[in-house]
Amino acid sequence: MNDTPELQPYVDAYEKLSPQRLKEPDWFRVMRDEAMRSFLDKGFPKRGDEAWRYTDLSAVTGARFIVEPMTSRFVSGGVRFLKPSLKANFLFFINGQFQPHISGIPAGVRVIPLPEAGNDEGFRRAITRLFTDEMDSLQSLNFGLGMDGVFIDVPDGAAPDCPFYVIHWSDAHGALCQPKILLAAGTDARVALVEDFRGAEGKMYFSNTFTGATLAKGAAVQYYKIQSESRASCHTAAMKALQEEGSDLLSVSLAIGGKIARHTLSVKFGGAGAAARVLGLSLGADRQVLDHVTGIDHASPGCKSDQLFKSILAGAARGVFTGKVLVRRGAQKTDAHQSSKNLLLSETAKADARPQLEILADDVKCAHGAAVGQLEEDPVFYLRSRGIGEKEARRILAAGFANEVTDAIPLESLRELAGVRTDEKLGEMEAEA
Amino acid sequence: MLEINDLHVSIDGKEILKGIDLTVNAGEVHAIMGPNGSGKSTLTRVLAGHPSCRVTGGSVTYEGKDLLAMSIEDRARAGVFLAFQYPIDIPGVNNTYFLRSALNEVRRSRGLEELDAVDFLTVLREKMKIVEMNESFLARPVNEGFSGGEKKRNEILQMAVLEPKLAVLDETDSGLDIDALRVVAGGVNRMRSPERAILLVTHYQRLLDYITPDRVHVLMEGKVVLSGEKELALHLEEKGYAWVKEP
Repeated sequence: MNDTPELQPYVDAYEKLSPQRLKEPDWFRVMRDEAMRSFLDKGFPKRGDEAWRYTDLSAVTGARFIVEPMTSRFVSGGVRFLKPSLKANFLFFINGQFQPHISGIPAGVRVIPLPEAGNDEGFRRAITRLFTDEMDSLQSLNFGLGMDGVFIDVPDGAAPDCPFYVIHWSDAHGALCQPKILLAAGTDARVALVEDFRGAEGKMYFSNTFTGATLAKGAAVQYYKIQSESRASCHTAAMKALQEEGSDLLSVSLAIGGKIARHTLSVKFGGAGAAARVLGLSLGADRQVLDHVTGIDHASPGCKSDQLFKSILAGAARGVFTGKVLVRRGAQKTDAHQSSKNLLLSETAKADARPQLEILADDVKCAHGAAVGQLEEDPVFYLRSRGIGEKEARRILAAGFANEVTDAIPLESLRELAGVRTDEKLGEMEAEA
Repeated sequence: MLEINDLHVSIDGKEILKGIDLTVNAGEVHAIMGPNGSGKSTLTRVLAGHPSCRVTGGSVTYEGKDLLAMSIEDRARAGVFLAFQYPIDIPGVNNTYFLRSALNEVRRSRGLEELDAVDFLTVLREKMKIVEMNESFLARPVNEGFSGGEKKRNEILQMAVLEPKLAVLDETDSGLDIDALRVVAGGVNRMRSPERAILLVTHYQRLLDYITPDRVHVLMEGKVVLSGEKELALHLEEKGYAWVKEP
């Protein structure tokens, strides 16, 4: 065991939680123990860790976070003002705690808060499949100490008519927010899940979240994430999708807020003919570090993955993309495409792209590319020659660069929302260009 | 409207325009012809303010003002329009949004109210008839995936929307099939008016079968070597540019 004093508060917190843990079923307790052991074993990522080469978490690991539930300055009904005006089933979390009384749960779909989900067979099946020893220490921390979350169970053939929209609001200084969102999409089910992370500006808290989706045969899941956390906060999120035969995933991640933020997406194709289209956009200003990590495991033949990750960086911001593609032996007719495009608006901004391809099958189509550059002058001239001022021309071109990601969102209301959030951030970044 | 006096322009340290003199009045259409490399495109670019063009001598006066002292966007707002030989792709930027942004910038500078999305669309639909353009172009990113002919039509559409006082067309006819050429020329002809001047830069005479110029100038090695009436273009077509050089 890693015997460092910085981990002691987590050991203590785990002890404190034991009355709650004891209420959980045996299999869950065993899983928690295992996760906690793994976290304490590995400790927080360190600077020397290759996987964290560009993203320094020392601000987090050095800080003391409060593991117990923290109250919000809002009476919980107040967070309703965070609701965007679109049709959705809204689920609210405040400082990592689920707020069932203000959340909307449609008929025909089971949405179970985590403490009660322990006895649910569907939940057990989903979480035990998602819990693997490939997890990094932060995911282990979430599984060990994170007590709250929801399980969304979409039965075979079901297609809820609007997305599940999870609003994560954090405003408690020093809070450790570790929600878990689990989505089980049954055979041929169609469902969209949105996670919208917001935070009170200036508050230093740590969101360490886990989202898991299991896609049964022929299921189609859309997953959207808009990360607009407080700029003093740290955000590390893991999204994991297990895809069975012929299932289809669309995942779009927008990284806008946070001081340090990483979104890790792993997809595993466990059945033939599945497809995943995975996109990300990081909009970095000031000294933000925005990091996307993907891992696509082509464990079955005839699957298709298509990744596009972009960043627009101003000030002294840093964008990082690490894209792993593993094509296992026997995963013939794999089609894997990966592209990373980065736009630097200032001299001091920086982008790093690390494609990591491991191909063990021979009949495959794999391509990857990465580009880092500044706005080209010809388009700027073209726009200016039509009467558009230089600043505005650059803003339009940067927005156009971002649109390639947000345009992939088929839900119009959500595409518009993503556009608004993107434009807001680009407006701020303009000052630092 | 436009007066160019002894204009010298260098690109990358190489002198391309070596003393151009040209006067264009409102209501006139002038054609500038010349072989490849004679400086035709450079002339259009320096008028629009392309940063690669370094003016080393001479002057350009537009409506009594020093055009060369104006920023790129201020020239456009004052009514100068360049139809590009090679229009630029703008990925991710919707054509309608682009056109409305441009028109509203120009309107604002003229003290006119900005048009909202609905009013703009009414204007745009009217203008699209001029270039026989399909509505599907409006939702597409600017010039991206457009064929050569579609790009040129899009340039003329922009011209029709922005209603410039001085329109400069850089080889708008190049790469067009005969149908597209007819449409583009028709668009230009509809823009002719007593308040507007048009400068047509072209390598070939064929555009002038559709648009009759008031004056034709021959540009060679960075200088206007010959000016004349529209018949000059026919003469050039018949005898080639080498004929100009003969004493």
